[in-house]
Amino acid sequence: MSVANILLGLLFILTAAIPVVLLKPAWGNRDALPIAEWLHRAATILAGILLLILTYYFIVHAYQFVYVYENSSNDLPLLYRISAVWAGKEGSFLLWLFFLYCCGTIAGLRGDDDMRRLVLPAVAFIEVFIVAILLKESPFAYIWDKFPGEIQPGQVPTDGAGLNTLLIDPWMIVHPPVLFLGYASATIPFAYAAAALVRREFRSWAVSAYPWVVFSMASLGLGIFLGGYWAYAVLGWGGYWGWDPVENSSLIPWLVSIALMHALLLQKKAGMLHRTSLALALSYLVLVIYSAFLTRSGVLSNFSVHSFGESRITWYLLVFLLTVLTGSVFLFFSRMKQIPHYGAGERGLDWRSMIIAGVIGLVLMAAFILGGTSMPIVSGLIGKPTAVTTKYYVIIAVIIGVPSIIIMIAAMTFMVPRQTLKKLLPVALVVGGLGTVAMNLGHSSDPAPWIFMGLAIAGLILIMRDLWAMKTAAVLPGRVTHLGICFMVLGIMTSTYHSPVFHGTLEKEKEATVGPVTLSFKGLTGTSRGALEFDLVDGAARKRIAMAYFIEPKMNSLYREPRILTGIMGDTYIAPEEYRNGLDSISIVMLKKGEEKKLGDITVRFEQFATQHMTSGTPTILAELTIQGQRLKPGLTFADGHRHAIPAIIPGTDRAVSLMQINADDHSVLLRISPGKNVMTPPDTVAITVSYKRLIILVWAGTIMVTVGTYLAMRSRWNGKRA
Amino acid sequence: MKRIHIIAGIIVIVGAIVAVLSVSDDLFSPYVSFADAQKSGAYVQIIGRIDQSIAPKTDDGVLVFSIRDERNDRLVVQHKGPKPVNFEHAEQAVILGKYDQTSKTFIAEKVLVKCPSKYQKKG
Repeated sequence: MSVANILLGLLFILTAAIPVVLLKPAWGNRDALPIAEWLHRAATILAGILLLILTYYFIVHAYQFVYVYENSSNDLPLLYRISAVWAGKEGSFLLWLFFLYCCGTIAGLRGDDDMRRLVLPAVAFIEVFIVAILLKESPFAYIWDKFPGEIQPGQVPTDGAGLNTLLIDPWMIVHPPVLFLGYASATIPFAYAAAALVRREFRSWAVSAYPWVVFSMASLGLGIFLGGYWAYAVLGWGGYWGWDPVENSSLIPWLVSIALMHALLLQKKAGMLHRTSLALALSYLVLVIYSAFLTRSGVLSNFSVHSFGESRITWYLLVFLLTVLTGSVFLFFSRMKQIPHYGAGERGLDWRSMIIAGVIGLVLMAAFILGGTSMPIVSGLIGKPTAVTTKYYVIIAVIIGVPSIIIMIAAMTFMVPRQTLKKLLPVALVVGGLGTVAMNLGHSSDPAPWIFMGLAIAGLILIMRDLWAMKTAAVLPGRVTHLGICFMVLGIMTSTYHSPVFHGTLEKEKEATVGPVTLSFKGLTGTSRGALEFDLVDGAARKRIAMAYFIEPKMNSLYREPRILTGIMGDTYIAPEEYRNGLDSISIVMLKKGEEKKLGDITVRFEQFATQHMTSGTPTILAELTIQGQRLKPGLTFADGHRHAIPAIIPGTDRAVSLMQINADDHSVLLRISPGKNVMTPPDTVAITVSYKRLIILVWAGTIMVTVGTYLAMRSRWNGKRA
Repeated sequence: MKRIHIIAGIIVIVGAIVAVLSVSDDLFSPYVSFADAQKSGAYVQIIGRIDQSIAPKTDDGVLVFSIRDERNDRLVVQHKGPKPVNFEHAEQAVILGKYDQTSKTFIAEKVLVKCPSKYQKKG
């Protein structure tokens, strides 16, 4: 039982005490609040200490802890040893938890006593669940507890298993923390909404919750964008969004947070949508917990590349989810009649109805994505597990997206003076129409980009006019964000619909054209970390480019990186698929025990292993082979810290067979058989995929604008008063 | 905006989605056996062990490999798309696509590989 685990237990006790302290005595007891607040502050500090302890263990290579062992190694640079803290399940939960404590403590600095007396236990309630999960799957578990029998208690491995190379990347340093900041801060509006429902006071919660909603929405959005950048730059399939269940599980709450923000806006400005805001605030956190459930419980491990895999905490997460869900549903519906609700009004179309329509659009989108993402689970419960395809998501994105963009643009027109609008609107529509023709002609005949880009360009015009003509700082965040959305729409359309993909196989030293590029493959270079080198040919000029391509020893798997040639008009995306060494293809073979293969004109069978001098002298492992009917035993000796290969000559030839690698786990050997004289060595080849991503820079520009705009919105005041 | 407008709007949108979805195919990918996949030719999801002893090859950007199910039946898969990372060392693969009767191969749209547990004893 490590010290840190004891501290975790203490954290649980401290946090669980908060609701008990506050809720047990009668409502009138005012002395309980300061105690509860100090408990929470102490818990926050304790959580911070635990996070620092885990970071320390990573820095000093404390491999007795299985989490450190599984996510780092001796050669991992310091920066990535620190970021490895949140590379896996347990550590990332701890980070989320720490952020949650911080949010709770900061939220506790404001507001009246009555409010804080309810908000604090609500936050603590959520915190307690996460601490319980951490107690079950602790980042401080010892390695001998996880692999009993293989590792003795007290035996510390000398090196770690290594961090997955895909995670050794700057984007993966920032993506999880920002995402967890979004998730953690989603708890605060929930707590305020729950407090409001309990107190039956439905106005002040919105004032306090609004800045948290904006912050959470901005952070979750940025976290999602960072994930997209990383996928594009590192993963090699040339995309930034795959409609993967784990990706969707963060998109769903984000859409709801945007709807919540707009609903609160309407509540602030027009006293409407009280019930909607409360329902959305509760749903936001429920969906965040659902996202954690989908990602971490392993239920979707057969349907997603991201999910962490099988898990012991599946039931904990399910109980967590169901408790918060039923609690919220009960609380909302038992108070619903008392929540002030105004008829949607008799007025016709105005900016208010546009916002309502927008909220509905966002909620519908979230609901359909939720349905599609949950389909494997639901269908698995009633019959054959079935997933939905990308086509499903594209269909709903188009059908809901088009009206949503129209609504977004229409909402802005209500702030334009009538006279100006009479001239401006036709101009915007015409430019939009001409613009979409100019952009799409010759590139795509699919109706989706035509419609979306026309709308986005019209929207751009209207927003630019607003930014030019309107002097109020209040509209700036909204306009900048919506401008970003228009740019994103344009960029997503061009990089999806105007972007062809080409395949090619290149022979070494032979120039070939694959799609938009002409390359000459120069070969695989480097010793421990190999790279594929190419000459990029541009007329007479040649530029040398290299892409990482090597077998990573820790994971024993192939690691490769794409090469992106960025440009204003588009990115050229070069992804290596497979490298074949000409000589290897005729001289290297892998065999499992009892397996026989043909290598050129020679037949080889691997019979079994044999050992010599294992306890004294120089240990030697031999592989007994049958080649052309003859028994041969190439071997490997281990002397003075190195391996030496002992080749065996194939009788009657000038060829030798040597043992390159052995694998005792699956009883396989890797052999090299020299090819012999007068044999033509085939050339080295590499298969690549080249895709052109037209105007993808618009996507990045749009995401930056959305991030800037949403964080800017935090400066907004609620009717002139600081929340 | 009257309440009736809101409800009508929702019905229109949801109705449009349901309408388009019902006339589209390739929307769902149920998890089926090899035999079912071969019989129906519909868009399905299959899982199998990659048979690394039959060397996977890449011809013209199309990856061709073989998978086997629990009964050791073999299915040849064609995948026109990027080779998944760690394909060479993957044990199992989840594949989405359709079985093509003429070429007697499974045309894969998406291939998800599952890697062996990395916590192997240092040998």
